[in-house]
Parts: sequence; C-alpha cells; structure tokens
Amino acid sequence: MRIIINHSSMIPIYEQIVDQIKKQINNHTLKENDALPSVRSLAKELQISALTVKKAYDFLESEGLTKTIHGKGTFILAVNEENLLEEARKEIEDHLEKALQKGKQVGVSYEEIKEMLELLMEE
Amino acid sequence: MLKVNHVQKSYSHFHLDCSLEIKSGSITGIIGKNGSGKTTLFKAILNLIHIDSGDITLLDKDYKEVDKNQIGCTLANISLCEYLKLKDLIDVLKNTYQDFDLDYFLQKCKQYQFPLDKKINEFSTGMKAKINVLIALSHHASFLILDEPTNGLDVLAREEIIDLIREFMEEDENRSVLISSHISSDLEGLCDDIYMIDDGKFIFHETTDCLLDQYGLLKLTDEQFNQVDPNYFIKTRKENYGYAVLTNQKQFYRENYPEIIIEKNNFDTLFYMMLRGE
Amino acid sequence: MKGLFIKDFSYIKESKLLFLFLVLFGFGASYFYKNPTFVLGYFSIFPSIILMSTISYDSINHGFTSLFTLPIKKEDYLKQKYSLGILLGLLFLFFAICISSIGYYRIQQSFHFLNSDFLQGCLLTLTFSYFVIAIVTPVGIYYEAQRSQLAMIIVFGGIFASVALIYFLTKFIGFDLETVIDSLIENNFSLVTFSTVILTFICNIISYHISLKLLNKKEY
Repeated sequence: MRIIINHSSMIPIYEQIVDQIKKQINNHTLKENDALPSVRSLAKELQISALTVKKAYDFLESEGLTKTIHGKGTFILAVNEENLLEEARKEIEDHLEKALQKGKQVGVSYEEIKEMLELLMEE
Repeated sequence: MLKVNHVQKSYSHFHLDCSLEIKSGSITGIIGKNGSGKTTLFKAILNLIHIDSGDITLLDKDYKEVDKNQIGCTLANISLCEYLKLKDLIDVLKNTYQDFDLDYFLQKCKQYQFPLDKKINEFSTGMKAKINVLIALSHHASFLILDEPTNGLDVLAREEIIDLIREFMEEDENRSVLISSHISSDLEGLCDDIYMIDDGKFIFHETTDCLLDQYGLLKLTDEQFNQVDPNYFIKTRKENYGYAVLTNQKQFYRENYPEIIIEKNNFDTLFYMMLRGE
Repeated sequence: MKGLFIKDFSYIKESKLLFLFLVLFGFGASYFYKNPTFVLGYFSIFPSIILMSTISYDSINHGFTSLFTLPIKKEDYLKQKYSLGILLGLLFLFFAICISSIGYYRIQQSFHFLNSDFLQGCLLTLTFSYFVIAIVTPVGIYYEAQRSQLAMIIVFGGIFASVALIYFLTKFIGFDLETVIDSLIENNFSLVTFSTVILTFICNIISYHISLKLLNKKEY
C-alpha cells in the first residue's frame, strides 16, 4: 500500500495514515470492498507500532469510511461523494475560521485577510 | 500472555522490583542502561534464577511449568553450545524442539552465508547474534523474549533482525515479543509500548504511539522557561542555551507558544531526559 | 534426549584423536606388561574422563544458561548423562577385553583366561567405572568448566588419601586389612563382586539425586 510516513513531521503518524488513505479513497485508488492490509502487515511495511495503525483504522471506521469484520479484515465502505465533499467543505471552513480568529488575536483586520486571500488565489 | 507481578530479586549491590504485563499480539520493549536489571528480569522469567518474592505467569501457566517449546529466547552475548559446529547444532535443535522449522533455518543460514562446518565460537559477534535470534524464531514459538538481540550488529544487520521479528509477528497475530535493547532506534520502529528500567525498577511506561506523537522536547531560553506554563513539564534539564524540557503535550505548547522550538521526540532523547532530568 | 546424545557425541568426536592415542597407548602398554588385568584397570577410568569433558563443554561460557532455555528438563539432562556413562563403560570394557585378549593370546597362545574369574574382573571394572562416574558427575556439575579440573584433582586426591589413611590406620591397630581383603577375594570372590555391584548402584542413585539437587539450586 502506497503510504509514506514523515517521521520528522509534527503531524501525528496515525493522522498521516488516515489522510493518505482518505486521499486514495477520494481519487478512487481504493475502491469499495477493497481490503486494507492487516494491522501487523501495515505496521511492518511502515516500520511503526501496530497500535498506531490500529488507531488509524479505528479512526477511519468511526468516520464511516471503513468496516472491520472480525477475523476477516478491514474493508472500504461505499464512498459517498456527497459526504466527502461536505467534509472537505467543513474543513476549509474550519481553517478559514482559525485564520480569522488569529487575525483578531493579533490585530490584523478582516480587510487585510481578504487581501491576503485574493493574492493567494492569484498564485 | 506474560504477567510479572512484583517480582523481587536481591543481589549484594542491586535490587530488582518489577511488575509488567504483556498482552497477546503485542511487542513490548525495555530500555535501560547496562546493569539496570534487564537481564536479571529476563532470567527470572525464564526460570534461570530464583526470585525472592512475587509471581510470574507466562502463557497462562506458572512460569516454572511453562513449555519451553512455546518460548523463543536469546540472552545477551550468550550462545548455545558454542563448541559445536553449526551443522551439529542444527541436528541437536531438530531433535530437541518439537516443531523446529529446519527449512526456514537452513534457508536463512544460506542467505546470511553461514558456514555450516564451522564451530559457533569461531563465528564473529554479529553472526553469533544472528544465529541466536534465528534459533528463537525457528520453532514456531508463541512468545519471544529477546535480551539485546542486536548487540554487536551493524546498522544493516540490525535492521535485518528487526525485520525478521516483524515477519514473525505478521505470521501469527497472537504472538508476543518482549525485547530489550539499549539501541533505542531499534525499538522505535518495532515496539507497541516501552518500559524504561533503571536501578532495578521501572521508571516509565508508555505506548510508542504516544511517545512519538505527543511527547516532545522543548528547547527554551531562560526567559521562555520562566514564562511558559509548566503544567506539562515532565523533566527539565539545564543546558548551555537555557533549558531542555520533556513534555507529553507538545501540541499544547505548539498551539500556545508558536515561537518556541519544539523537537520531535526520539527514544534516545527521551531516555536521556528521563534519566538525567529533574 | 536424542538431541542431548547428538550434542555429546559431537563433542566426543572433536577429541577423537586424543582418545585414539590413549587407546593405542593402552594397547602398546598391555603388549609389554603381559597382564591382561592392567588393561582393564587402565580403561576403566576413561568413561568418567569423557563424561566430565562433556559436562565441561556444556557448562563453559554460560553454557548451562543457554542450555536450560531449551525444552530440556533437568531430570532428563541428568538421565542422559548417566546413560551416556553406562554406554561408555560398556564400550571401554569391550576395548579392554579385545586388547587384553590379543595381548594374552600372543603370550599364552590360548583364550584360557576367559574364565569366570576374568569375567568377574570385568564386572568389577565396569562397576569401578560407574563408581567413578557417580563421584565425578556432581563435582563437574557443581564446579562447572573452569574449576572442575581443580575439583577433580582434589576429589581423587582426597579419595586416594582417605584409602591410604584407612590402610595405615588399620595396619597400625594391628588389623591387617590387606590379608582380609585377599582372603575375601580368594574365598568369596562372588560375594565381593556382588556387593560392589550393589554398592555402585546405590552410589549412582545417590549421585543422581545430589546432581539433581545441585542443578536445581544453582542460578544461571
């Protein structure tokens, strides 16, 4: 499975796994009913603790993206395009809200932030 | 799978007092400096020494009654039947272990280019260490107990051995491993949880996941040290640039003090801070 | 236990040149000495020497530590060692008989020495071998490789000294032990043989239990 972990990153490892699996679901590399590798296999491949892999798998299951059948493995559930888009929208909203809050904290005006956004969009 | 309950053992200059538990399917590591009690603990579990008090349950049996066919082990710097030639040792093992995987062992000997006609004590330190681990892995054990299995091995060989252990776990997810080392990088990529032992006692126990994701090293100047919220300081140490602080909530500090330098934790620094910090 | 036998035979194979030399030396000596019983005596201590050397190989460099991580019970380890001793005793008795037969034949041109006295002598030799094994094994196990050579010298020296002491003491008292033993051998050889066999058997049983206790008490 093509997952690359950045050990020097501040992002928790399980999060990196979750993000990359989500990406693969989004771009249809992983399809419905595809089996994810066993916890130990992925742990071996990525050279990390099995608990971390389990954490990632549990997280994916809690988000409704996978289902674990005891004794058989973990499988991708049907991808609901709408849900994914909605989730992505929410994330973008969160990020923007954080930026606005930060601006308020340090005294950067909304006008300035809007300008920054327009500049970035041009790039 | 393994439960060590307040095992105590006294020597004239040293006293061991430990409890630990390992569930099936998990890899547990023990870090400690030389003489901290790792080998004493392992020998106690293997019933090679007598304990003063406490009890040990292994594979649901009392540790004295356990079937050694189910246990694979290596002890630091000790080889089995050193004066035998490798091929004779293989014969002995074949007739001693109930379920010895001859093909696997021979295949690995070929892969590592071990001369079958040579006596074990004529092998290099690294080769001896590899043979010890191979013996432990070659009889379908349910539990591995490895005392510094990568001693004397170079980086490539160490990685080979750690990978063999990963393979071993992949074959049967109910197996467990207890491994000790003072090369912490070996354990980082393998273990599920880590115990730290010092002077015969466990001073620390945490999951690897937590250690890598939540623990971090803050490098602070003197002023920052005085200003920053010390609630999540675990250990501190005066350095020439100010202070080094071990914390288990690096996200907290990242979010609230974006200007301070936070290093991602590796086991070496963790170990160092736990032993040398306040 | 098969594994343990393979291990010990491999150790013995390592030193086979040495033992071959000693056997040939015995052959040569018997040729000149002309008395078949010398060979019997000479070969009777070999089993214990070889057994001791296997124990040394086992114990050197923390050998016992790694050995007992294998699925081997201490009882089985000892049973194998004493069984090996029995095998070696029979083997060297066989060598001794062969060599002394050849030697005797060359001199007397007959096999008349194969009488009941000789056979009882063989039995006595065998029991002597086993008796020495009974003493040597616990010593080897307790002292392990390095110190066991020294311990052996002390033990044998001690036995020799105590026998000599008994001899001189009894002579001093006026009780001629030598004549008594000679007359016993003359008249009740079978009794002597029988009682030595029983004695050796008991000694080996005691030796086994002592060895087992030592193995269990020791820390590796």
